[in-house]
Amino acid sequence: MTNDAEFDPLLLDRYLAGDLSPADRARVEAWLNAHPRDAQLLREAPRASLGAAQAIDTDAAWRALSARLQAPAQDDLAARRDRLTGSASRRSVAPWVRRVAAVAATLFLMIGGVATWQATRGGSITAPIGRDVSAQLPDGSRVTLAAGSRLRWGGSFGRGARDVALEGEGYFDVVHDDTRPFRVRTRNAVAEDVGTRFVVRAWPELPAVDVAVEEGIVALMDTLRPRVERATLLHAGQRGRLLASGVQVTSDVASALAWMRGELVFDESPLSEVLPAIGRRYDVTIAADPALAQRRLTARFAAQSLDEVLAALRLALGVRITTSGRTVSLTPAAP
Amino acid sequence: MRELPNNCVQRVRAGDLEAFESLFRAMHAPLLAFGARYVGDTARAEELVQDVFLALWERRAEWVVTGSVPSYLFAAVRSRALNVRRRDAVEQRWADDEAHDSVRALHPPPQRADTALEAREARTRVDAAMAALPPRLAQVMVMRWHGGLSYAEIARILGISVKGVENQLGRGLKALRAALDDG
Repeated sequence: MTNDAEFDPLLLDRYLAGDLSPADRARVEAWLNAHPRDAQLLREAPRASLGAAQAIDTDAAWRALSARLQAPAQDDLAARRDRLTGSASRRSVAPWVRRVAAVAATLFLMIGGVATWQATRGGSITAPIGRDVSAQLPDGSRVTLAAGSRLRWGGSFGRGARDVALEGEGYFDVVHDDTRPFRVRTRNAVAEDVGTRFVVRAWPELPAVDVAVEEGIVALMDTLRPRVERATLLHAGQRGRLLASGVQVTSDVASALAWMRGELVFDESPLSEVLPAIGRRYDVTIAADPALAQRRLTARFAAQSLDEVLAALRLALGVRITTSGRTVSLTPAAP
Repeated sequence: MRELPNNCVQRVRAGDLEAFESLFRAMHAPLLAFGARYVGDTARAEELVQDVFLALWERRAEWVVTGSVPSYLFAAVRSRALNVRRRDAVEQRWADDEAHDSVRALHPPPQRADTALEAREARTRVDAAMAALPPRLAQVMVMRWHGGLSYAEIARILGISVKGVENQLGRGLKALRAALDDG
């Protein structure tokens, strides 16, 4: 296609379908440079062809599907119950939506994670990058792992103590048992429940392991100096950070629970913590110029897309953002 | 078009849930857009796309793909959609629609002479033009531009000629371009 060539719809179609040789591709691109209106057409047409499906939430669809993958037996049971009660005749409402909801409410639901356990060999749960995972542990306690986290336990779990090892961040809703303490171990801390719901944050980039208690009491101990310090008791509404100088207690529990509601909350947080958190949520790697290392961010992101989050970063920090594939780079804006 | 996982079929057959998830995520929106044009809305299309993937996972060990993976999935969604529609007995209306595709495309609905519409962005105009195109034509576009299917694969799935596929695409792009030019 030369610059003054006619509009050739089938050539443009082959361009859109990825059907052209590199040379033809380059020719079409040169032609498009001279014809901005057609370049716009090629940007808009594939998007528009999706129609109403443009607005669709693939994450939610995958969660629904993976719940169905995990629970085929319950699905059949619910279908049978529907038939018995005659409620399956309402074909127009997706029946599996109701069934999935029922299964989620009464049984445990693993959201896309890979969870395995065996009574004799222990097990693990991994929340992949980009997705939180909820699961039930063999003792009935429940855990929600933030995207990019991992929880492991040994074969002796539940015989005596219930010890689990956490990398990353998890929300625990523990079935309390005085005879079998539930202990979350991280790189240098142990959080032991005294009947409780709590969050443990142990990301590698955080300077201190951090425990926020929503309900009950948690005993926090420094495993590197077990004899120097006794356990610090954290009560509901308290948050403890395990610093070298001891446990610093604050009342900032709400922001520690924000990720359970799908939010990312930063309060004067250094970029060294902000960028990995965004990266885990959106499945991107974010690199910042060292000149930005001291910058801090206060922000709350709920349902924003990655583009919106990056736009907010650009404005709040006054930085330049370049994206290449799944890698994002932050550089100081030119003066 | 989003990348499909490498060795997709082999990995799914072996029970690789991650490959299965990547496949679902890559193809979800296109299949939904394709299916919605058979069953009328995205909620019902969602149900049938999920049914296709569920059936695929449950019988993954026997999964055989002769052409491309997207081509297989579009064909599976189509066959399920047609079953749904047979069940719902709305087949007749659709058959009429298909018979009149070419007539309708030659006579697009008149542009609304409403200033608000004119003021809206090119994006909105393209969306409106797309909605005015026959659903079959939009399906061809989805299969081409989001599934990377060949003319022959599309012709086979829809049971029409290769020439017919080309004609539809050419007509469709011209119609969308005209909508942009109206701005």
